[in-house]
Amino acid sequence: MKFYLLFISLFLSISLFAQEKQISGVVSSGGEPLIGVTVLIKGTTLGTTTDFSGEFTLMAKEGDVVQFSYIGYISQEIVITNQTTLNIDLSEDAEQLEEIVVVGYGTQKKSELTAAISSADGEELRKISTGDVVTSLQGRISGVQVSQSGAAPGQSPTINIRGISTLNGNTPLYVVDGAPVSDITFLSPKDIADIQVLKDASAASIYGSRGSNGVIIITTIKGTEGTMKVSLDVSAGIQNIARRPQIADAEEYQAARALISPSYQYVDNVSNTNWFKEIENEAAPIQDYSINITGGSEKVRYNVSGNYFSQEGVLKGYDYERFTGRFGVDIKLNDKITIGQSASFTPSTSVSGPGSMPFDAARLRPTDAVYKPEDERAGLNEYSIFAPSSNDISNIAGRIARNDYSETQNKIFSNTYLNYDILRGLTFKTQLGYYYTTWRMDRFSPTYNIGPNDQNNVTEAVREQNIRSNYVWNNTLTYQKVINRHSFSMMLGGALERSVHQTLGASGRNIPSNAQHLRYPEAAQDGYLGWGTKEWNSLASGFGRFTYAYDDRYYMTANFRMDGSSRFPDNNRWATFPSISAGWNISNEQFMESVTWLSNLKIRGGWGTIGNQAINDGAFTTTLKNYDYVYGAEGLRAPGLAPEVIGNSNLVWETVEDKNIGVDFGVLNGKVTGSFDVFERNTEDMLMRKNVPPHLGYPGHPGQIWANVGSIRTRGWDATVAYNLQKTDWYFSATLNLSQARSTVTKLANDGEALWGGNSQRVNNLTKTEVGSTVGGFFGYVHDGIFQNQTDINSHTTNEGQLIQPNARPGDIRFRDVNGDGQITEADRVYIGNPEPDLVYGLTLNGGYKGFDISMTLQGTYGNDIIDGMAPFTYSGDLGNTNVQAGVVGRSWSGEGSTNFYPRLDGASQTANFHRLSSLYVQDGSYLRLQNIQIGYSFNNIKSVEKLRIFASAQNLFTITGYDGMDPDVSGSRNGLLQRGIDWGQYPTPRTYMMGLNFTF
Amino acid sequence: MKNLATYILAGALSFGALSCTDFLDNPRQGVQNLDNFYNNETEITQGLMSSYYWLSGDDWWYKDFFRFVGDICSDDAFDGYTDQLDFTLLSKFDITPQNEWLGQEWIYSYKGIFHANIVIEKTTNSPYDDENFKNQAIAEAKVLRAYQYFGLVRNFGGVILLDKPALTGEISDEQALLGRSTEAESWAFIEQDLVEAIDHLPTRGAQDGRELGRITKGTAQALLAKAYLYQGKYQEALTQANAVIGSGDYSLVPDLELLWDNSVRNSTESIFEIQSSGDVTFRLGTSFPTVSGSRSNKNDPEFFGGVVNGWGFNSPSSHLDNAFENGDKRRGMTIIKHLDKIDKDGNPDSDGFAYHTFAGDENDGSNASGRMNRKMFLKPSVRGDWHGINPYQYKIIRYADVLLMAAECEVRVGSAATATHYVNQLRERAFGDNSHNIATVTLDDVLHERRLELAMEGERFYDLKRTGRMTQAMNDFVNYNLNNNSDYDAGNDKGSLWDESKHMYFPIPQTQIDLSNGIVKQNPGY
Repeated sequence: MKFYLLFISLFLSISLFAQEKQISGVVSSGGEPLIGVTVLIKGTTLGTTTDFSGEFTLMAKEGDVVQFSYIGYISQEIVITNQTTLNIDLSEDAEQLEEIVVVGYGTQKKSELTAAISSADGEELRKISTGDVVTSLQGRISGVQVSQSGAAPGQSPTINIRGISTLNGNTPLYVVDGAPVSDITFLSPKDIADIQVLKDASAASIYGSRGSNGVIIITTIKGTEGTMKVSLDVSAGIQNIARRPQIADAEEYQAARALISPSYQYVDNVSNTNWFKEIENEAAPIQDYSINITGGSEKVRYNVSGNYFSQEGVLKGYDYERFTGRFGVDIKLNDKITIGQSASFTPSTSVSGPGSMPFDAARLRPTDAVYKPEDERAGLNEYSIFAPSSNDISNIAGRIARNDYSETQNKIFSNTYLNYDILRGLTFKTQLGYYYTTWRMDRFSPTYNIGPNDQNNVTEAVREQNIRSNYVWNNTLTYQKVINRHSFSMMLGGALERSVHQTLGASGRNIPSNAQHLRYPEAAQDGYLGWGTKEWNSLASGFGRFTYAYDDRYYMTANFRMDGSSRFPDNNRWATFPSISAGWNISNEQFMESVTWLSNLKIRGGWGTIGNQAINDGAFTTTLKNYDYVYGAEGLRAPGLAPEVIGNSNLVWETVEDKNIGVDFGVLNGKVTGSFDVFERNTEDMLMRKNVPPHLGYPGHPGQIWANVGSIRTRGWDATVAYNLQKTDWYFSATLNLSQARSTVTKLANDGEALWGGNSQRVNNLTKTEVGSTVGGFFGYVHDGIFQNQTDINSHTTNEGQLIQPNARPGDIRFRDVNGDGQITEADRVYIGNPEPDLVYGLTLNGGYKGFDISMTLQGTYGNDIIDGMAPFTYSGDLGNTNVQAGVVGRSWSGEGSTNFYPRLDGASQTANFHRLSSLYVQDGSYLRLQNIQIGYSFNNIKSVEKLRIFASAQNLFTITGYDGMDPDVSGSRNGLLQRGIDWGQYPTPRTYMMGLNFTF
Repeated sequence: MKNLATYILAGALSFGALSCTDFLDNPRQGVQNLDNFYNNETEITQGLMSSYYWLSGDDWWYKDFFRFVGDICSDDAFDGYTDQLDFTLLSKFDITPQNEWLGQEWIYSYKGIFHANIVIEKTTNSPYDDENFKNQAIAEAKVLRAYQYFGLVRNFGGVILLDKPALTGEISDEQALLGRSTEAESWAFIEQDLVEAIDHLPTRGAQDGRELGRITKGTAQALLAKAYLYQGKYQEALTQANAVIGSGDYSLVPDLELLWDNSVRNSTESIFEIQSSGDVTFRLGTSFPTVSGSRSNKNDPEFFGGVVNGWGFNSPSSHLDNAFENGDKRRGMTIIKHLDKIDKDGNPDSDGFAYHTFAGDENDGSNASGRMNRKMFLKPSVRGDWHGINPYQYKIIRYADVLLMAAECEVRVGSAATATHYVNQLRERAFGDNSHNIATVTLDDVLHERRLELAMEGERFYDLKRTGRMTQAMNDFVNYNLNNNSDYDAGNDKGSLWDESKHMYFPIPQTQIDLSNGIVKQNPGY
């Protein structure tokens, strides 16, 4: 900055304006110095900012007007005459302090909000060491549940706003600087200025057909008027796995196996492999570097930033690297017209390990070796030196070694606007957003020979390059008018959107070798295949909003939107989504003036409808794919064509009706603030790709079709309480957010035909969804203890004395005969667990003393259940075929009184105990996690440096839970809502340790 | 400027009012739509091929694997190298409705039925005007539909009968929530399809070489004979079998080594055969040689001239091995026992290679009986490089089967002399001369001959069930293995859980029952 000033001084000194002189002074407010006040010579870009002591120096000449401006304070202008010292006292601006909230297609004063909107400040979010914006929201906002659910580097966690509103994906709509986009992985958390979450229909209905899962509005960092500001953020660290699954060693595995099959012969001198060690990356580096430059004058404001983020996986084979470059410029052409352009470019590469690694590591036999003996490796290629597995799971070390899968993406996001102030209060805005993504995938299967069951004799290279482009053109006309105590605003708009997805790929076989440089389809000698398709969809919309406020006491907002979507058949294309809401600020009433302890009290309520159109393009048509056969004397290929997907021409919009009542309050001079909302949401005509009975023969397994499957009701509440204490040299703040959202199915199509989900090789249909139930409730047999002896079996009878489990043996599970028919059949299954938490919570604590600061976020869920999806294998060792959990031998029933929970491992037919879903596999999934802790120190009083801070942070430092798997954070399964809460051995949430610094000048 | 803004504004705000029909019309590109398919010969043939596809499917676990059930659930074979638990449990009759393989067979059979139903419906309504061509396509689809139902009925009993595809917007409750028909109704449905098809199918003799491998009149008649046989309608079965025999289109391949060469396409003995090729790109092969091949890596690829090993499933029992008389050449074509000597094409050869069937050594328990199925051996010189995609022609029905069906019917309701004639044709081929001919065959002789001739071809379990001999066979088998067997498979108690009151039908897969809202009822005992 000094250099900059020097440069300006030099420039000015050689100019002809000779009367320049140095002016210095202090800017303060009520005696407290103000740091970072913009001091600018009006009509120029010349200026400076105040330092830590509020001091400034500036070259100016007589007649110049010097402007002092600072957010939240009333600006002052001083004409330079003969002074050389200027001591300025700025007073607070009550009007400006008013927080402005970005809502759909415009802004509103926070005090005038009548809908349920929560926000998160970019500054706070940047404290989380992650490359992913959604991850940084975990535990931050009431009503927003972020669940890692196995997010590997480069993947976003799942996010639900106020629980679920549909069965088909609950990803909210993201709107970045006014443009709706399908994902936000092109953004770095370092680029976020703030985030608004529209939680109810009164806020979200302006986004109509895509608002049903809530809307997340993101505003990125922009240039502000003032001198150039440069910020550097640097951090780096390592990650590891917080909890490892307990898997048996060779000795215990053999002991288990000997129990299961008495004829099993112990093998001595056998390997003792810990397969989890083979998939784990014990110290995975993570790095995050960014630079952000902002500045501007009255006419032109700019921002330029760059970010580099890289993260290795805590499981082998994962690696993610991303660069983000952004710039933005806003130009005031004249008093009426402002134009702006911002753009970002985000190239990234991600390498993924083979799937289901933890699941495989838990099942591979520890008695198998990782590598073949030295003397058998001669002449083998690098992928063949692994030892064959003795069960049907491939040697995972071999899979990791030959795994060659990478994705390279380039994401371009461009946003252009023109703002035209036609008349006082009347503004026209046109905006063009464009989001363009190229995705390239490279995959290579090398030749190798581990064993007869694990080999590949033909190389294959696949390369696919897909382009997704998405544009939106928004046009709005806004009118605002204040007449005495009445304040009105009206907005009318239209939008056109189109999204096109084009694929292009090629593959070939018989590449002459495994050499790296030949791993392309071009090198293939035969088996060429090529493909390419185009899918597209469009949306045409008209929308509007009317707001009215009286005397800062009474408020109302009305929205409507009309959408037409290409995703629905001709006759079902258009739908309208209205909403209305109102608020009453009680604390501004005269009769409340005497209540001094209450600084704010507002109640609000709203009603509205929103929609969902998240289905595949062309879901209403039956399209064909190849099912080829062969015939003729020479056996030539005969192409066959049959449905790839069955179209449903009756598809209609999914509609959500939503009601919300809330209260905002502030007490003790605003030290304690909070809000509380209750809501009810009724979704009708839910869209889902549902399973159909297999006998229909539909494509998919067991057969699927997009359909409107029924209705659900979600009821819940969310609450935020914040406490803020600010003293001269220390501060403390705490924000607690709590939410609950319970969903109940109220109607299902086809006479209430139930929906089923969750299939494993051993146990199918883990969840059932039916009228009156929750979504994806765990459905199975009730485990009523273990038969300790024959007497127990003989006394497990109906009232008539009929034996219920006549074939059971001591050590078997006593199942409850729910329907009382004297036998255990599928009719005895009931709901034995609920994946939906009673409570989702987060607590953020911030504190500081002088230069030190500390912040931490705790988050978790309470009252949800988890099915350990690996347990059907790891509890029983798949009857000897696979490895078992550590401790299985000791804990399993081994005689009277040994346990009343874990069934016997020995003896004949075990299928009744292990090959059905019972409470045996259901666990409490509640947890409390220290998601993030960061300790920093800021150096004060360094000349020309606005901020210099060093910090150390840790994520996922501890988790308190009764769940015995790797990671309890699975409640938002990425395998769909009918499988949430089922732990298939997902990628675990890593534990991360980082150090870094923030530097601004 | 103001004017420009006005125009933009006017344009922008009128979007809602704009008829967006064109803007919102975004049909999928690059794919065919069923609504405008089935217009000509090519499209009808392509549709038809998609129902042939379901005879095997893309991978080993679609349809191929379940063809072993007829062996592993009988006294002919064991599960083999046991790394598919539900396969082992199936072979041991430790069966639940969750059994993976029952689920696969059910789901994939119905996909075949769905495709056949599409062909029948769409071809019937096609604007293409060559009625003969259309009738033949419909007839082929009906045989394919009947064949899928035949597989379902002999495994599960009465099934859900659909004679129409449930297409766009037609998921009426009637179709989606259909219950099971009785077994008799299911057989009647199969019979009707085959009877209707017979008239419109070409005979094998009239078939052009380019059409070889597609369904013929003989296919439909042989399948109909089998459907009758399963119902005990011996007279009707005999009529159909006789039609096949009398057609003169089929004959036994005199040389067994040629018959079981497995790369010879559609021999004169072939009546219904899965057509395959080694095309990896389009996955046109079958997986049998790999799945049932030996798991040992001691079988020298140099000697055999190519890939020779596999996964070791479905291994023949010593009980079956012992059933072959000395001199019966079929034994060497059915079983390769551990260290049996064979030539590079898999045929017995005292100077050949001592073949290994265990993954490790003889004591590692990796193969239940130390034997592999020779009928699924594909000579390595023509085996593909890709593990599951081989040009192996699986024989669903061959002429020998028809002779045996005819013999069984004759001995039951016709002439024992004719039956004897048929059986002896097979014995002469097996022994190379008439020295082992039987003077007059009994029913036991015919069924024993059926076991030997069709061993490891997936028939035994169903033959035992339909003739009411399963319980006796399992008792004998368990008794033999536990008390009188000193071979590799001694002590294996497979079959001890067989319960005639329960296992005559497999359970309906849980997925079907759950998704049918309880309308589809489970078989008793599960």
